Amino acid sequence: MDKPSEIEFAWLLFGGVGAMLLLAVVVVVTLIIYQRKSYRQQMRLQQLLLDHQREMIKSVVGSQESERERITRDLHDEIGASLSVAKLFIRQIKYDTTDDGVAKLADQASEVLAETVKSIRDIVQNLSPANLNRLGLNKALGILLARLAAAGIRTQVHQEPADDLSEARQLALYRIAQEIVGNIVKHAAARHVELRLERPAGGVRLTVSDDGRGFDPALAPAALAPGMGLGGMNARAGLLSGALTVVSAPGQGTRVTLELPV
Amino acid sequence: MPYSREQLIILAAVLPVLLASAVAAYRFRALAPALRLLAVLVWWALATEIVSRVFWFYKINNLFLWPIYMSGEFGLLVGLYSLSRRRGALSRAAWLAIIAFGLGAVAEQRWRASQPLLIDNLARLVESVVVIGLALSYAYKLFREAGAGEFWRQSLSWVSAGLLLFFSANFFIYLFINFALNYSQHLNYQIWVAHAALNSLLYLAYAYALWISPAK
Repeated sequence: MDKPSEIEFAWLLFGGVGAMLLLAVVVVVTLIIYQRKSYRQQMRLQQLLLDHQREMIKSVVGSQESERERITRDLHDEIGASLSVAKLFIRQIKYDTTDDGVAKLADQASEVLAETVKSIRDIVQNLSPANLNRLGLNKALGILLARLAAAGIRTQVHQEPADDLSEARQLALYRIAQEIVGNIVKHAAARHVELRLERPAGGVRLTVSDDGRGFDPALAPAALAPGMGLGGMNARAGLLSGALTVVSAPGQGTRVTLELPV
Repeated sequence: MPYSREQLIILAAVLPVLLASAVAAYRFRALAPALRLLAVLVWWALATEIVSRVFWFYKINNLFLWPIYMSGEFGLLVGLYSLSRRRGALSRAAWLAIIAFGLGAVAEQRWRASQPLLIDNLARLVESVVVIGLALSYAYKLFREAGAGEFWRQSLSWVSAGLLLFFSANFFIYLFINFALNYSQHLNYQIWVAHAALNSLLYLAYAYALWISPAK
């Protein structure tokens, strides 16, 4: 390329090539920048949606708790009081009558009423976290397990002190433990149940394991989840940025672990 | 016979094609149907490179390979974009475009039969415009679909970026190639060096696209 005209042509040609190349680079870079921007925007929208869902769950759980409290109060104050009065009347009938048949009927009615009062007391205890409010998480969990023991299931409890946890965390731990215990009674046919409440650094871990019939979480999650309240447990755990893990297999029992950050 | 530096650079441009062919062979079974066409394209390019180098070595005119390679490349690229969009068979429009292009390339070669030392650049220019259009339409599709995922994680993004750079820059080269061929031998070599560099870039993009392609 010695001749000036040749150099001039080369400049023109390679300048054109360079300009086209630059144009293509600009298109690619613009596309990348735009795509990243829209990707970030999409992520932000997703986060907003998640936050909204979290708020919804929070409000559902809150209204569930207040509704439970109202039902507990009604059961205790209205029905409980009426049943106690009815029991007094029946006892009076028993003392006032001379008819053996009527006295026997009064005895039977009294027994039925006593059973009903006991059932209502159980329902009230399940509905209301009164034990939790009155005694703290450690003792409330102990009482929960004691009920299993009363039903003939061997229980083991290992707890590290956790009464200093926030109210929301204590309530979540208690409710989830309550749900797990309910599942064990209803579905597991277990003979031995172990509850551990540990305080690893930066968190709290609740583990409940049983030697019951177990299930395959992968095979029938849809069928099992609603009945076992796994969705509700997950929602409660999620509200406190926690994680719920269920490990189970047919014939090999179930282990549910809840980990909450503190 | 000692080769000049330019000739060695042009010869070395076959290495990215070899690399892309090896990646295509390694990943072929896992590739989606559209990307299998890309694998066939790199093998097609390798076969053409080998045949053209042999002719070059024996000083035989290898320009007749140009329309054959071009038609294959055009057909496979149109097929690739068509399949990646429709996820089915090639559309009728794609087939028509491929056949029309093939016929056009053959017609141009016949027209240039009396000028054996000239390159059939018209078909190449048409191919450049069509492929740039396909790459830009893919870019437009990404613009519209915000949820398409990260740009660099998609094989077709790499293919499109490579094609856009290659054909945009080469458009000018093809436009003036026959003029430069008669203008100066030195300039002619310079142009082919630039072409070899762009070709290497394109086949490296192909190789990476084949490598990151998810299993079908």
